[in-house]
Amino acid sequence: MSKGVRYVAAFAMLFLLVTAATGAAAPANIQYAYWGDQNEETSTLALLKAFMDKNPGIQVDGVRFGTNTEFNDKITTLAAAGTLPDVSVFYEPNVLTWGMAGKFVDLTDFYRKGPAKLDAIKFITPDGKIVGVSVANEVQVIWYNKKIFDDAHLPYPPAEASKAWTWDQFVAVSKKLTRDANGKTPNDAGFDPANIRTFGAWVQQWWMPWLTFAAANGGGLTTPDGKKLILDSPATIDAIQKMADLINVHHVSPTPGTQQIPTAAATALLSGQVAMAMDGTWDLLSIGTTKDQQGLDFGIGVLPKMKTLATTSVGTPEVVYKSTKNLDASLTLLRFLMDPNSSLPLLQNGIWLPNEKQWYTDKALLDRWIGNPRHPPEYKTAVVDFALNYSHQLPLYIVPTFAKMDDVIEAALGQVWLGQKSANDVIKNEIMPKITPIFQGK
Amino acid sequence: MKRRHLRADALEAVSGYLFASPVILGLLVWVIAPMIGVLLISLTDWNVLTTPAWVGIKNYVKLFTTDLYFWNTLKVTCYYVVLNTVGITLYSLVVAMLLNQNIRGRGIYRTFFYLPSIVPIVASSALWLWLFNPEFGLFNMMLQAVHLPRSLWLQSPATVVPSIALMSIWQGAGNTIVIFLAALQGVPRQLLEAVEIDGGNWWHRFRAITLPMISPVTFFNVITGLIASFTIFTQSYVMTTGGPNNASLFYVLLLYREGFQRNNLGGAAALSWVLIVIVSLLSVLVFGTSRRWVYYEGEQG
Repeated sequence: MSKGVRYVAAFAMLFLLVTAATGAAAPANIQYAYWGDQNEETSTLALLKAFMDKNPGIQVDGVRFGTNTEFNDKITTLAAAGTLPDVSVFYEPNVLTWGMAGKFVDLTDFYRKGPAKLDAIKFITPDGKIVGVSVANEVQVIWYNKKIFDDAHLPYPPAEASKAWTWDQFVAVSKKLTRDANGKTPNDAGFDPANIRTFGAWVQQWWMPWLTFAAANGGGLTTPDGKKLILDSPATIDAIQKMADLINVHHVSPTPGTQQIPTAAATALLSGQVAMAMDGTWDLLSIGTTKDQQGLDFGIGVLPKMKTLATTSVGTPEVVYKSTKNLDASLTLLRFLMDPNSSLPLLQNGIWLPNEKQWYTDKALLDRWIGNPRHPPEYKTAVVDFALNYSHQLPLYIVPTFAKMDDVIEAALGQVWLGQKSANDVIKNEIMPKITPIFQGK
Repeated sequence: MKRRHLRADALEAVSGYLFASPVILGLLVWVIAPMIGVLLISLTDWNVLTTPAWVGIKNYVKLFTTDLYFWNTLKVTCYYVVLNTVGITLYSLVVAMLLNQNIRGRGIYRTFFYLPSIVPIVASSALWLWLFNPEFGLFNMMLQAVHLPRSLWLQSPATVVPSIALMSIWQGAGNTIVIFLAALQGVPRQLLEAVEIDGGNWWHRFRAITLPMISPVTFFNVITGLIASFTIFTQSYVMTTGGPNNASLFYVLLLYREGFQRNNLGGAAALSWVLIVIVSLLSVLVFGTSRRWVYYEGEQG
């Protein structure tokens, strides 16, 4: 052995001894992937830094993969290459597919031990494993412009579940709020549906609104356990037809195509293009900002009832990959990210609702996120209580074939929203024959 | 000549291949190999996440029999290909002939018509979304100004493909115009003058001289236009995401959705190979007809 080699060997031994003595001298290095814009990058990196300050033994590299669909492209490629990150947010429609393919750590025990998360936002595979939980809870509510109600001398939409409008009351009020270019409502003779200036109620056509009303009517895409298709049940068909009637029969909601669909609830309410908008609670950030900057006097109400009162929840999940080499560090990061305390700025600015039940019921915790001017007084009943007590789980969380079925459903329902065909016809003759084999995994 | 040395022509061949090797290697590594890879994937059931399972030609059989979107996407794409290829060729020829006139500020006009080609498609798609807006878009305002019925443009299944083709023609014509322009300038003056001397008007000049003389270039434009049109993706990805009611669900958009959003890599790979075959067949077809209408100077007319 030459002298040089001996020195190197001795040094290596010394290094090993020192590291062994100090325990985890080399920090566990994990990668966290997410999507978003520049602002979200800044806030995410700040969040990761806060985590590392608390956990000096863990080094987290944050990598941003564009928008949510770009994220999905990228993560799919990484899966093919076998170089997945350790922890990441995940594209909702594909969570269960990946979970069933065994790409994620089974988090069932993890969530059994920690503080209880809301049931509606747990992603559960058909064999009962929790593979992810949404970091935030977002439900559908009604946003409205108070001035338009005042001008029409109408009472505001109810903010308490016990006083929720029936569907017919909702339609009646919407009709009184709708105005054509001559100021006429759909109840007046000579009303011109081709030139509507203010729509009483803007209800959108993507899956969340129709699944919400289907749930309220006792229907849905599948039974609540995700085991049986019930899209063609009379309850679901009736709910979807009622929504289409808002557009084509009552003329209180914008028609896809013929009228310009508003780009965002905040601007549509501010400009008086719509009096009420059914949309997610995430709107509080943009609508609240519009209030601060342009004086929009807005309010929040619970949704109208059908057979029952219901809303639905969505939110982006955080997942841990099975390929991680630092499971403990990854779970530590997951615990931190899923803790509502970590997302307090986003809870306070209005874009998120917390994922734990106690934050909805405990007065002190509630004050921490809704005790600020961004959250109006009716928020407690119209959003907090409504979300806690009336939220249904969407099929996205329990039905692995949801995205593939929705490709068919969304395209075909377009004809219903345009009033070209009835919901009954399209669902029974065009959608069911196509989605049944998909649902059965054929 | 000493035997140790390579003969001059062999030496030339070796250095020739050496010089061409980057391109050949590039073709092998980046085109041929992936194509074979895709062919192999198309014979499997693979969702990226699990090990691929060999299924033979099942993916192809499914495409032609039970697939929910295949025939529709083929129909929609062919419709677009025809509109776009014919549209670009005619529009470019007309514009090139106008630009070939001896007019003031000719350079400015040429720049003008070429300009759209250098705008990224994503940017121009966002711009055209505004133009197509049924409520306050420029197109409907123009229609209204001349008392014509307004159109739904991108939002109706009937008008979405022509609308996208309209935008693609505006965007894609730049290069075609330049190529036509070069060809028009190569039309021999003496032939045109000969027609004039014989008492022919502009139509005779165009029909008998210009059109045959530029036919090789027309042929080139049609072939490249055809192939490019089949791969349309960005416009519908940005503007319509395939809607309404799958009326603009173009082939490559479906391929992307199956492969990257629905994790059906086997099916997406099969779609790719079917597309390769379709485009190749069509190209062969167009080449086959070319002898009848493409005139090369110096050939027996």
